[in-house]
Amino acid sequence: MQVGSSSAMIADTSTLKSAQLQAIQQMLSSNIDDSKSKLSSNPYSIDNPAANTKNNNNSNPWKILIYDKHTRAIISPLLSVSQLRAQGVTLHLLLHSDREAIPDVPAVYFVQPTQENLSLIARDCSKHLYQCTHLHFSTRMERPVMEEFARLVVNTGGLDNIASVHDQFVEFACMENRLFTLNVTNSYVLYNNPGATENDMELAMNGIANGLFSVVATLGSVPVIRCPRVSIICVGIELFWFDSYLDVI
Amino acid sequence: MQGGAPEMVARKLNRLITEHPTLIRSKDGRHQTHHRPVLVIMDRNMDLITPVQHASTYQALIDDVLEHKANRVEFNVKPDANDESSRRRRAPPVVRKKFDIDPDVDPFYCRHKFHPFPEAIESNGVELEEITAKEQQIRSKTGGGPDPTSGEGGSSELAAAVESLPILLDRKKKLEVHTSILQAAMNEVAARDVPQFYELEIALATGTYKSDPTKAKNDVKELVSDATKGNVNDKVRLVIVYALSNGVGNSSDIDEVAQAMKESLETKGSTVGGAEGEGGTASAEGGGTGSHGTLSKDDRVRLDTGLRAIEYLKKLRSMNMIATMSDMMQTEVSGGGDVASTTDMLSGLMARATSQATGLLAKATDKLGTMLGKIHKHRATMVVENICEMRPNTEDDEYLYLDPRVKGDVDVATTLRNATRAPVREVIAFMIGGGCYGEYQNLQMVADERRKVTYGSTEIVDPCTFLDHLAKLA
Repeated sequence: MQVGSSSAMIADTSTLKSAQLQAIQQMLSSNIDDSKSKLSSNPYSIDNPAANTKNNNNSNPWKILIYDKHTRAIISPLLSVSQLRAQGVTLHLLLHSDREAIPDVPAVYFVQPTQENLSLIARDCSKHLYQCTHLHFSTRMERPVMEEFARLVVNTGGLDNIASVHDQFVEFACMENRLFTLNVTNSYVLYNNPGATENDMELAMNGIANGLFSVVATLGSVPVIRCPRVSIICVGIELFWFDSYLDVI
Repeated sequence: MQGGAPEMVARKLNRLITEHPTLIRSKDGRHQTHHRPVLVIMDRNMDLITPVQHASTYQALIDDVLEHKANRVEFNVKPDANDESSRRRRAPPVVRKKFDIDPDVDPFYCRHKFHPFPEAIESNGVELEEITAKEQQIRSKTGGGPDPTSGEGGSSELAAAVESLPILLDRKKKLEVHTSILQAAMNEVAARDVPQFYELEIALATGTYKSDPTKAKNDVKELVSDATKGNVNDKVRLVIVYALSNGVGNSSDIDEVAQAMKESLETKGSTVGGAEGEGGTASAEGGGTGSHGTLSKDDRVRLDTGLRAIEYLKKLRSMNMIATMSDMMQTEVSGGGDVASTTDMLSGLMARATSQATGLLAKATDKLGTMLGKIHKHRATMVVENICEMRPNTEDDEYLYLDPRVKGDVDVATTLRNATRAPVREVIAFMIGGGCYGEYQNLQMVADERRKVTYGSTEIVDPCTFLDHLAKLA
């Protein structure tokens, strides 16, 4: 399986889009040679040797890609269907759809780590819907969520189906080499709505910060951050307020 | 918490980066030590004009007047009314066209997405002519057909020419896709008199009317009361730009203009159909189906939404919660040619282009000396430029400066930061609350051979969607 075929389409190798494409391509090829892949050195990747040794002697180059609506919006501007096929993806399906069992083909899941998604994944694994399961989350999974998911998978007997788990930090969609969006709908309303609770606000701002962190992590260099400061008069209060906010997370 | 969103996000992000186990140490140390990227996080409230005003450049206009999302453009093509076959049928079928246009791969789009619309039309015509001529040349050499066998025995030059034909045809096909998109956009632009709205909005935003608020009000009132110009959303957008332009009107002036628009629409209606892709009502309304003089249901909804959006902005304005717009846009004097003359050229071209519906694209030969969309610097562009150029007494001094590599959640003091700053080679401009193609294009003014500008936002919103967002807050 050659991976390079579609990387030739972007000449500029230093853009956000090319960096993200590289991450996605690496993700799609991860079930071929997991033991050698760079992802293994990623502190946010966990390999399951039990599942891998069982499946690695299988040289099937094909795989199924399972995504959700959010991650589909990330992939679709990057890779066309034919480019996905060049990556060995024969079938791509929404997590929230009726999917038939294909027990002889490995599956790459690329989804947001939401509770709902995780329970669907656990269900798939317990049914051994696919040969093995590579999990790639579009952003970091919070520890309690991860622990609950682990419990669920163990209890439902799906653990041996999971070959690897990765956090990807690609929580943004590149429309062009130098144009990206976090795809937050109604984003203006979210933080200008006087009826929004502190919790709503907190969630919205966390979402944006996580998205921007994905951008920074994908670029791989630490930026200087500039932004307007809250008006001078109340700056003392605001700072105090921010600090208490930050202590919460 | 007005205005606090960027700072909240900035501090959270700062913490995320600081706490990441590898990001701080890896890669960063190896390269770009001197040229670290600068991330500027801004709040949509700093400039609410840009996301609602009419666009003049190719990509921004596609996003404005056609259905455009994630690099896919969709529009309806009505069959030619004079065409025999379609006249015989009672309801000529409307063909829905869909194109995926990747701005990084498509050569024509890549070159012209940021160019003024008339220039894109002109270039498309010229390039298409060139390529057709080349094709003819090859075809005539090979005896009228693209059959490669006929080239055998001939010179190697001929063989090469034949080989180049498929590439040529592929390029032609891509150009023709743009011809079709340009045509569809042109139809909308002409039917709605978009250039008139664009010009008046630019004049308002750049302070042309500063010394004559009465004229500003009258000009706006005239255009929003003209039933033949613009659809409901076009009018609402103009009123919003007026309402946000500092020094050209007070609260009662805004009411007066909004009321004039409302009365005109309710009594005379709008002869211009709804925008493409907003429920597909364009074809039904355009032909004078008896709804003339009253508002269609969809237009009524649009008007009510628009009025709510205006209400919201009036409220913001009265609470001094939005930046005053006197310096909303800056006119670049060095651009060559003043605003009036270039915008006049745009109307001129549009007028001529619409009068000669046939051969529209081929004949659009007007030369636009300046890059229309590049003349005015929008607010975000000015801010990013001030920071990149490290201009004293601007946002560069005012804005918070967080450096994840400096321990702690602290604003780095001006004296300290200046000692270590190198020219900015990479900027990421990020807009909380929604970005738009007009702003993306405008920000490229800060870019040059040595400096790259990446633009991001919480979402990309077209002007009409943004109106809906504003209306939700009324």
